[in-house]
Amino acid sequence: MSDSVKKFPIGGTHLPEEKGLTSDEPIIALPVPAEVLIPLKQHLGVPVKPAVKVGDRVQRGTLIGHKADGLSARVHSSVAGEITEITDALFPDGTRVPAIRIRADQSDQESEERLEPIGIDGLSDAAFRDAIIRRVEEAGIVGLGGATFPTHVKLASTDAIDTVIVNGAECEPYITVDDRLMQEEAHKVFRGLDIVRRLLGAKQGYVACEINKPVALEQLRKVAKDFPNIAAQALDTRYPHGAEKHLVKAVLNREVPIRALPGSVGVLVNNVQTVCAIADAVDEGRVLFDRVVTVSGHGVTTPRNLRVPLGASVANAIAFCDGESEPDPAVIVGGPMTGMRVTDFTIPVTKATSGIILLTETEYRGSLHMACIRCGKCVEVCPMYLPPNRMTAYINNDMLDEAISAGLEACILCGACQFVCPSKRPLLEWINHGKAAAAARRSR
Amino acid sequence: MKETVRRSGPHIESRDSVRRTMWEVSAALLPAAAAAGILFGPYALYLIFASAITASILDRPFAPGGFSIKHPLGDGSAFLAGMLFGLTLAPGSPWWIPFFGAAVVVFIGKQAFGGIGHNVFNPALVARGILLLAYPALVTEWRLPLNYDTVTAATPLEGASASYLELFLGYIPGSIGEVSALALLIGAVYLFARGYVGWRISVGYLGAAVLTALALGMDPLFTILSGSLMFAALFMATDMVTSPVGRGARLIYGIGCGVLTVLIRRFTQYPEGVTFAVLLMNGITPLLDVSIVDSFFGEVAKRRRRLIAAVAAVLVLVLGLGVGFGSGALQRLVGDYYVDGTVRRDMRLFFDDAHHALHYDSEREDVRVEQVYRKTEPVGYLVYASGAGYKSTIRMVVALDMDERVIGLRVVDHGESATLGGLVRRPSFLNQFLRRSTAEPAAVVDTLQPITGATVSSRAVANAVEQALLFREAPRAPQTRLTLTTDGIFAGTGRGYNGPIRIEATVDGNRVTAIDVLSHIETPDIGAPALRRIADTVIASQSLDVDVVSGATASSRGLLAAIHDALDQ
Repeated sequence: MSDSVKKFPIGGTHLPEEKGLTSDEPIIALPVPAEVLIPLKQHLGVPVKPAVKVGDRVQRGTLIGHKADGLSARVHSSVAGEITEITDALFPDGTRVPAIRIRADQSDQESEERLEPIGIDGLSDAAFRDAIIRRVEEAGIVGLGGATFPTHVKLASTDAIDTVIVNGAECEPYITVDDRLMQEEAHKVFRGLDIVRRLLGAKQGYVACEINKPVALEQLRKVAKDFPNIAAQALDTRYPHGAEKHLVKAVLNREVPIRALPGSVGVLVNNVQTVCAIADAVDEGRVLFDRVVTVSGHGVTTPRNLRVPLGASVANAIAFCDGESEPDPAVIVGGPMTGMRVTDFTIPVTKATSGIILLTETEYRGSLHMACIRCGKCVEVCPMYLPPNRMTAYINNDMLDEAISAGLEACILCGACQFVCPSKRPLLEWINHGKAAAAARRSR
Repeated sequence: MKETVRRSGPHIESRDSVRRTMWEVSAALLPAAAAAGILFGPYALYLIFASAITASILDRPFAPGGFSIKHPLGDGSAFLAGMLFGLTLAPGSPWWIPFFGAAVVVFIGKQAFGGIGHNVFNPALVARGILLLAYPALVTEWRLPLNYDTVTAATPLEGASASYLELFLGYIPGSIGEVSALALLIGAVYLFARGYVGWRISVGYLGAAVLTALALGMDPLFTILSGSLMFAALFMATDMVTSPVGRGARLIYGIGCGVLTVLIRRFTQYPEGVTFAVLLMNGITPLLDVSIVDSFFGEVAKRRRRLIAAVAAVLVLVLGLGVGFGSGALQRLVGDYYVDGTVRRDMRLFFDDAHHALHYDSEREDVRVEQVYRKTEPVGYLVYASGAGYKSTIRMVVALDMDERVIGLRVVDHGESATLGGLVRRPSFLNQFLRRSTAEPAAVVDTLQPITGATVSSRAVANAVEQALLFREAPRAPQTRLTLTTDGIFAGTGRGYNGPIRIEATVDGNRVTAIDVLSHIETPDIGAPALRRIADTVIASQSLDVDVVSGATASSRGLLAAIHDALDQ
């Protein structure tokens, strides 16, 4: 079964992959920068409260952000040094969040504060469950695929889960974070998945990976032999396979109902790096203070996969990759499909940052948009089976109710429609406007 | 300045563009254009590319940015529409038609609606529809393939015969780009493989045409291979701008096109239905777009409900077709073609204050007579009779007053082509039969002034009128066995259904040894074979007392009369 190549049945498109730029580049650590600006909100929910004050000295791994009331995840220091300022940081979407500035000093940047590893073999199921969920919370782990949903909340779900899937689809072009992790640390991926599987009492697990990552897939299949309940699942190369619901549809042919989570069909999905972080937190007591980021695109001199201390700036990462290869490339934080273009490079790398992509003028989209010729390609590729052409026509004519009944709220903002549009219409931009208008109306 | 940068993605775009789309579709039409060149010669290529290039040039002033040296033919949309139009032309179209048509394509079909992306109706079909209505004779000037310098020919839909292979390859008279199903399929497969068209519209169109043809008792393979149906299903109905975008809507749209095409072919006077079928469906495309909405990803329960509803709809449809087909068969079994409504209508049409009509017992089986009454007083007759036309039977009703003179008549129905044979419905033609009398029925045919180009259909009407005037005549007495005394070759003439049948009979040793039909104008598919059979039977039985060929009674009797005429001298 696991040798078959699966895909979701309707919609989606094949993007230019461009993964070859970095898929053979091993993950190397970004040297600790002179200072970091660590946002107190690197997760879905509300910002955490500062646990330190200006002048405090911190180690790598020191807790600097307490859990707040409401959905949140802890934040730890990524460098050894001194707290210089409690301020705010700019995010790629233009918003500002509270942040802590830390000046790195010449003290030991190798050692780190760790928690006690958990010996899980002797634990009863209930004790195991409690211990792991507590540990995941202590380590500040969130969904590292980009959604940044606090993982301890997700794991505490009461849904009856029978399958855990690790999402290694990585369908965004250029990005090779999960690719490299699966190549270099396949065993850790399986280990993390197995911990989650046992915690939820799920009978099976899959590590799903698109076939444009043959080395990673090879590694997964090799390691899968050591884990009887877990299989490697090859997926066709198709965007957006990494979207949770479409991954579930592809791997298990279960369709998550609209407005529901995968738990409703007995499935829990975690990102590759997330399960690696879980394995690290459980087996080694590490907390989450760095993450792997792909710096790529033809606009950067030396494309690389970096392990970046959280709070290091976009400029730090680009400088370590020998800077820009041509003047003024478009700098994207995230992938080229769903990421944000930034013009201020002091923006910090957070738990959500999977890539920093520098696109040259020829790579970056630029065509002026024309009238819709009703070719239907947007409808064809929409993984949610929506009519983007009609939806955006409603939005542009202030017909919000019609836009919503056409599926505005079901849209997952993958951007496949805009990518394929032969008339180069900025569909996603319009849909974003529509979503904002709908949200504003709801809150009124 | 930094604030004007667009933040959200996608930051990359596909290499596809409107221009590329249009040229790819145009390229997919090249096999059909090549087939046109081979089958109908260089003039066909002239028609196609003169249309395409003229349309491109006329469209230029409307294009954003005006003329550019880099893209002299613009975004290709007008070229494509012009090319589609050119491919629908008849090979004998006059030289100026491409220019006129291209202007209609661009100005009325496209720009009147607001230019690219905004037209409701397929511009190429708008032009074709307008020409079909304005210049029916010019755009239906068919030619034989590979022999295109010669005479006008009929298309298979107008009654010409063709094998399936000839239909598939395009070795038939027809529109230059539409005849070769093979060439069209090559282009369509290319487009499908390149992702420019989906399967739903074309498959829906062809599938629905096949099923509708089956339900109406027509040949399904002939239906989809003849005329423009394949061209329409693969290229006209799939026109992006004028077809729906949703999956379900596309399927329904295709099915609608298929059903309408066959219904128009079967039940109207137009031999080809695709132009109006696709234009009609174009018109309801916006409605389909908003009403046939695909269920979203995750709407599992809704999809299941829709599936059940769809299955139920199909069942009802099949049931309905079954009942319709069954009752049609029943009606044929009873043999009573004329429903009472027809008689009532004709009664009021031709007789003032008519009260009722009673069936009048005529000696003849092939006419039906109703006597019309005003209160209790008889005021005239309605006589229903028919004549064999070019490709169908023309059914007439003739109204007679009590002096048995024609006071009115009309064509009840016919299956002749709208552009030629159908002209017999015009009063200017029918009025010549007014005041004809049962006293001299033969005069009707003898003094007939037929419509130019529709001689056979005109004659059929005259025959029907003559038969109506003969409603009191008893059928001819059966002929007896021949007694021949003189050898030799004898000429004779008889009147068949459409006109005179001239024969020579050879008598040798007191036996008829050969009957040569020298000339006749009976229908090629019914009358002519009947003549052969009757001649053979007469020679075999040495008798004129032979059974007439059913369905060709008049032709049979005409030949028997001719033989009698020859041997009676």
